[in-house]
This record gives sequence, structure tokens and C-alpha cells, in this order.
Amino acid sequence: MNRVILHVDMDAFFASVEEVDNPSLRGKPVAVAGPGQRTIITTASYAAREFGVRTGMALGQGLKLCPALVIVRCDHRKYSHVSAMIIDILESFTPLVEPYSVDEAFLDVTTDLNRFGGAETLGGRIKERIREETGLTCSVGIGPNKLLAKLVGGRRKPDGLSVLAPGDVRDLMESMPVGKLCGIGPETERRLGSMGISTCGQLGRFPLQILVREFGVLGHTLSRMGRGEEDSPVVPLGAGNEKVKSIGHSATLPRDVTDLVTARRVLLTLSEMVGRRARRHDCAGNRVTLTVRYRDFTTFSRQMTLAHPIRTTSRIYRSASAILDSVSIVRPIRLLGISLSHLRFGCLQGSLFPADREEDSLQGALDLINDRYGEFSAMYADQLPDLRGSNGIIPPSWRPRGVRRSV
Amino acid sequence: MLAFSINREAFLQGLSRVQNIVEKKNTVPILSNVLIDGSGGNLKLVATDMEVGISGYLDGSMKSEGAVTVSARKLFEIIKELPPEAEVSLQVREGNISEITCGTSSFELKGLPAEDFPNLPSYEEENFLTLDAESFGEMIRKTIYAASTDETRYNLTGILLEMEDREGTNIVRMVATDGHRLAMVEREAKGSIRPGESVVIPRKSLNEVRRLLDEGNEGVEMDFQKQHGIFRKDSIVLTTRLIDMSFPSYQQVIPEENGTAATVDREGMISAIRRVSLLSSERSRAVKFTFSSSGITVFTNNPDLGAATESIPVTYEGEDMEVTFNARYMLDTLNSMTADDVILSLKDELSPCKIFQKDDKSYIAVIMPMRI
Repeated sequence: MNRVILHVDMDAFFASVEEVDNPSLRGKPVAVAGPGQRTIITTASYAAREFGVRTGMALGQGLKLCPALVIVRCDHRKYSHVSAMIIDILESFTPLVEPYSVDEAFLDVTTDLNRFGGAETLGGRIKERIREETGLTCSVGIGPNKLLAKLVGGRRKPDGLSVLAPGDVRDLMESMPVGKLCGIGPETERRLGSMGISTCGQLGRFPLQILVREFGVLGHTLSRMGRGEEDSPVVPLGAGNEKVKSIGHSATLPRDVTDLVTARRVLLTLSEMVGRRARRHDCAGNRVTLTVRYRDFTTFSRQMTLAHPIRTTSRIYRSASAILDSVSIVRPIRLLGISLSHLRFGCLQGSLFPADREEDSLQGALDLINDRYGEFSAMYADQLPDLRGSNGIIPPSWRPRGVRRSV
Repeated sequence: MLAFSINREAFLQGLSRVQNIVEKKNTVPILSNVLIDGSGGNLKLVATDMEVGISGYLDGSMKSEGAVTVSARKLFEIIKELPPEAEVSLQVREGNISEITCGTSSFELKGLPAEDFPNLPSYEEENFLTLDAESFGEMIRKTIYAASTDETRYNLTGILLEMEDREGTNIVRMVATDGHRLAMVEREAKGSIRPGESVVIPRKSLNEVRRLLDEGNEGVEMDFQKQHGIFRKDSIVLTTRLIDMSFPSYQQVIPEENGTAATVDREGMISAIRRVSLLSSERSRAVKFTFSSSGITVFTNNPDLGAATESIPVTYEGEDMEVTFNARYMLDTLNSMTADDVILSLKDELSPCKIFQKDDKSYIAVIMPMRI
């Protein structure tokens, strides 16, 4: 499936925050600078940029270019507070938000796009919300991956919105100077130039072997960048840094049960909830843990380690049921929980046999339906009588987001 | 009651054979025991976990007939600690207690009654077919690594053995797969076969057969019944329960010869993958292979660790292609081969890759790529 990645870049972030805070600064050339006498400019407002004032410039040089330049001392606590507000806004659109820096973030909106009426509408709504709630403007770029989203977003600033369709990538890259790509700095640009490469089109066509000889492992990345290819996932806050260990769900049953048929039906729903979240976060795990709590609150867990990681609802369910079958249930069950751990992200081993592949595609189709029409729009028949009622298995607030909640 | 004496080395060799077979979980206590059976005048050791069973004769001097079962592990540990070439005596007394003496050492080992020990499946003498130990051992080695260890995919935890009469030539074929990769090997069988017959033998059992074969080069005889397989080498008989589930139709996943072929130096490729995969993710072991006419570039990138790349010379005339494989699968396959040059045949980055030795179609491995 083609991904749709959205890049949000705040316009002259520090300076704009200061302008919102102190309206008298609006429209004036403003430079935010670090503390101390001999310091450099961290951000220049667009008014100041017209005078040639740039980020990284010494304060004195800025004043020389623009004598009317208003210098504001930077206040990082204020900026991180506003930054957190913006991330909150972005997370209200999708859980897949990766803060890239204090004023930039990537969103994976692949599955949310239809709900919001397409890329352009979604980009517009995000800009609108940020303006309403913080008074700030931002530029949004939408493309098939992070590299391209950032590239097209940077072409219309400030307050821009650009969408790059996958079909237009080749044309865009053909004449794009390599230095415009995020990740190619002046030194790399110079070395590429000495090899006769100045545009992305040339870079993408250049023999890989030579690039690898010249740049080592980076050669692979450069070659793909030249073609506008990049596949790093959007890693939500917490998912990358804190290393998610497991994905789990548990449910207190509407009434305590002893019969395994009812228990299995609950397991199926829990498997779907766990599997769906794993798939949404592009991970799979090869340890399944079943937690059982009896009426008297005694609780135990049993786990099964599989040879290969799984993430389809049916496989998770089969493993959880196998565990349930292997334990003797001695009292009425009050709660059941399933968790998937030993997670690995991205890259998934393909299946050799058509039957397994069909299972994977069926799961993909079900997920698409549920993305589009809401959770549990398509489900297993076994789930029917128990769902959406007052049994409490699926709380109305349940969403397949966040990987951290566990049993 | 049973009493005999025996050379320590002979006893130890017999006992070491049963160590892998006795049950370790101790759910049925007698299955952790070895049966020492001297009731028919000969001394026999028997062990089983109800899936695999082994029986073999011991060269000892019998003083009194009888039988007993004792902990296979404890007896092995005791005999192992005794001095080399020593003469060991074992005498059973009331209550299934075995007295073991050797020099000034003496042990009393509690046991369970021999009558409670399960019988191994019986077999008819005339049904056996023969394979030479070397080629059967090689067939096991070339397939067993690809079998599944996942108990939820029970039918894949076994290895398929099929017999075929191909225009007058007796062919034995073995196939293993874990759903992600597959290995198939064929050999000409000496002696008679039963064409059309096919069985699925548990992985653990074939591992034991392989250990037996490693002991010497004599041929191995085998016979398959409805639920059991029997392997015999010298006086040692190994019985195994067969997997009573159908094996997936493997022919459909072996790609036709329509892919582009890359010919590489096997050992060079192994070394390159081993080096580059040092930086692959420990869990996924993903390594990217870029095929082009100038060579295969092996590449791995791990956000937590770093990246590595290496180029391997290749004879390849297809279009440039990027395919990601689990490094372990590639290494398992390449290590199971012996030829200098191997051929990797690929259609595209999502289709299975077929690997075989140059000028040898009797061994084929198939590996499914990883999806990024």
C-alpha cells in the first residue's frame, strides 16, 4: 500500500511564538537570540529575513544588515510548551505522529486520509486548528514518504500547503538539486558534484556500486534518495525511544464464565484488538501471553513462544486458544487478557504457501474496511452476539492506537 | 532378578544414545527411565518418550535374567564418573532397586517396575528397505534445518519422505518447510522401495537417526507402518511415531525456471552475509541484497546499531533488483550445500528465491523474501 506522510513545519517558530506573545512585535523584523553578549541568531522572523538576516548569523552582523532588528532573548520553556500543544493537536488527527524537532513533525496519515476527505483537506484542517489554537502558521508538505513530504513542504513557505502525488515524484526529482534533500549537506553535495552529480535524477540513475565505493553504506541511501525513495516509518513518541515491549488488552467479562465457548469468543475479540494495534504499528511478536483472573481474583498468566512472529487476528487467536486449552479452568473466569511481546518492527517475513498469503491479504482487506467504516465494521461471525452490547468487552473509547498499554 | 557385569565404556555408549530420547518434562515418570531388559538372555537398553523410541543391545555378561527401569540420566551420570575401562556390576533387588558397584564405589538407584514400561511398536522383518548411511545422513542434514519448530504448525514440524519409481530408478525424496522456506533433496535408493508411499517423520526423530548414522558408515534399513516408522542400524532399532497430518503440497511453491539467475561463489557469499548480518536486527535478521550485473551488494541498516555493506562478484544478467532476506535462512541454505558455485534464481522482490548448486538439481532450496 502506498503510504501518505504529512510533514508539518512551523514558520519561523521561535520568532512567531514571540510575536503571538507580544503583538507589538508583529510585522517588525524580529530575531530570537541565545543568552549572552556574543551570540548568534536562532530564528529570524520573515520580516527580518527580507533584510537578509538568517539563522546562525552573529547578532552584530544581523544588526548591521537591519538596524531596526528587534532582538528577543530565547525562552525555551515557552517554545517547548507551545510545541507540546501542537503535538497534541496533531495527535488528535492520528496517533502516528513523530515529533522531528521542536517545530517539525511527521504524521503517517495513510489510513486516516479517507476519513478526512483527502490529503489537501486534511492538511488544511491541520493548519486551521494550529492557527486557531496557537495563533501560529505552519507549512505542510504531503508525500509518499518522509523525505518527499519534507521536500515539498519546504518549497512553499510560509503558510504553504503542498501535495505530491506518487505519479509526480519522478518529474520532481529529475531536476531537483541534490542539496535540497534533507540529509545531503554541503560536503556530500560537493563530493557528489565532483562525480558529476548535481540533480536527484542523476543521483538516482548513478551506478550503485560506484556510490557504495565512494560513500560506503551511505551509497545505498543516497541512491534511493535520488529516486525519491525512503521507507523509514513514522515512529510515534514513546514507541521509538522507550522500546515498546508488548501490546496487550484485557477484558472483565460481563458475567463470570466457566464455559470455554464464551471464553474463546472473548479471546477472539481480544485477539482482534491486539492484532489490529500490532498491524497498525507495523510490528509482530512471537510470544503470546494469556492472563486469566478467576472470580476470587486469583490471577495467572501462561505464555507460548512461537518460532515466527505473528500479527494476524487468527494466529493470535489460535495461540491464545491453545494456551487456554492447555490449562484447566477450575473456577469461573472474571477477566481474560492477551498480550503479544518479543516485538519486531517493520520488515516481515513473507509466507511461502498460498493459504498463508491469503490469510495475510484477508487480514489486510478487513483492516482497510475497519479503517474506513470504523472498528468492528467487519468482524468474525463468532463475535456478533457479544459485541457492542453492554458486555463491556470493547469500551466505546477503544481505538487501535498507542502500543504501550499492556496487560 | 537381573544381574550383570559390563565394561564401563560399552555401558556408557549405550546410555548416551538414550539421553536425548527420554522425556525431560517428567510428566510420566517412567518415561524418564531407561529399561534394562535381560529377560531373553541378551542385555537390551530401551528408552522412549512415546514419540521416539530406541532399543539396542549391550555386550555384557549376564549373571541372572530379569528387567528393571531406572532414571536414564542418573545412571548415565554415575557411569560417566566411574574410572575408564572399569568393570561395572549391576544387580537388582527387591523393590526395583539397582545396586551398582565398581571397585570400591557402590550405588543404590531406585527404579520402577519393568512391566510398566511401554512396548515399542513391533515390525516385520521382511519389509525393510535400505539406504546407505552416508546419503541418508546427507539428506537429513540438507532438509532438517528448514523444518518448523512451531508446535502450532504441527504438520510442518516433520519432514516428508516420499518414494518414487522414476523410469526404473528408485528415488527417495525428502522435503521440509517452515512456511517461509523449503528444502527438497532427492537421492537414488539402493535396494527396493515402495513407490508412491509417503510419510511425515518428526524432526526430533530424524535428529536421533542422524546421530545414529554419525556413529558409522553401515547402511540404514527402514520400514514404515501406518502410524510408525522404524529405522535400524546394526543392532540398534529406532522407532518413531509418524505425523498423522497431510504435508502441504510443496511442488506448487517451488518456482519454475523463469527467474533471472545469479551465480555466486558459495563461500564468499557466506562470509559476506555473516559479516554484514552482524549489524542486522537480532530479531528480524533482515539483510538487503541488491542484484545487478556488476555484483550483489549485501546491506543492512539497523537504527539502533548502524549499517554495513559488502559487495560480492556475481554472474547476473537480469534487471537490477532489491530483495530482503532473513540472513539466517540464507546462511542455513548455503551452509547445507557443498558446491563451489550456487545459483540464486529470482523473479521479483516479492517472489520466492530458488537456490541450487551448479549442475545439480537433486537439491533445491526455496526462500521467501521479507516484505519491507
